[in-house]
Amino acid sequence: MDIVWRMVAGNKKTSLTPAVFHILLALSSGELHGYAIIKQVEADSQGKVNMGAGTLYGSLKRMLDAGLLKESEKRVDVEMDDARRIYYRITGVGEKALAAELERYRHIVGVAKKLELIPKTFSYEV
Amino acid sequence: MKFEKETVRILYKKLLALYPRLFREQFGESMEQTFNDLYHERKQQAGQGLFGFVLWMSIETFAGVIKEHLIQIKRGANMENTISNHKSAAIVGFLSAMPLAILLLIQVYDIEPLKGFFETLTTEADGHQISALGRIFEASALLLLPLGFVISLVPVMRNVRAGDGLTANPVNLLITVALFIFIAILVISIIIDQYPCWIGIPNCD
Repeated sequence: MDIVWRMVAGNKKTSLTPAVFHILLALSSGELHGYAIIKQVEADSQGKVNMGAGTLYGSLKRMLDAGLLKESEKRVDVEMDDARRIYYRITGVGEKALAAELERYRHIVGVAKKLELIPKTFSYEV
Repeated sequence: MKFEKETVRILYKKLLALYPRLFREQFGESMEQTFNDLYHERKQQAGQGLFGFVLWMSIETFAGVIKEHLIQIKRGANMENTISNHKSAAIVGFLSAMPLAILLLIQVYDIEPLKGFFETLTTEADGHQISALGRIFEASALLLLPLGFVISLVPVMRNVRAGDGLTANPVNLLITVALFIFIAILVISIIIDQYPCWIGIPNCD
């Protein structure tokens, strides 16, 4: 069984890889094709995460195998060109994995806040 | 340096051909399309400064190629396919010699800053003793060599048994011979280096 799936299946101690987390986050707002995922990840991370094709498609393969994503039908992106592209969409399992990871982050931020490690300008509410 | 889009595209396509077959069939076309999209975007933004982008994408994709092959080997299910396919056997055989070859080249030709970087990484704080990480590096690089030799040898042996002759897959034969010579030189060098110690000469190290 794939490592991502093992995490989803119940090993709560294992976190998602940064690439998997960012892809799930990008797809949570709708179906996207490969290039659009890279751009969305870049936007979500304020330019801090630059994902290449190797990382993206390696992660997509494992996420598809683990049932976190599904391939949507091929269609044309009218804003780009007339090439047909494969779109990906998040599944219910993917949404649960993303929610679990966000909960884990929320807990970590809570701990950091208690330890007064977060700058006062940081406005995250736990 | 100015990169013509068509040349870069062809080179990237050749790089994608190194992926395992199933992965390539599933994602090869999409990866090429994504690369073209990113290239087009960078060209519009940066104009001439594309060398860094192409280099980064190539290294990143090559790392992906190695990772996918390692995952297949780790899973075990596709090991048989790797050996039965003469192309992937040649690629795995060639790649298996790379870590040791690169380490030796860095050592012999004093390639800085890589040599300094590896020495820092593989020696203890006192700078003399090889660290545990260094021993793992060395052992892995050494073990990969005979493994690569066996993997590249299998298709050659199969051709011979089938009566197709030694040169049915010349690339496999070339890599097998090269790996054999590499291993032989390594073994002879170790024997020459360590022989005085074996016969009891003091302070031989």
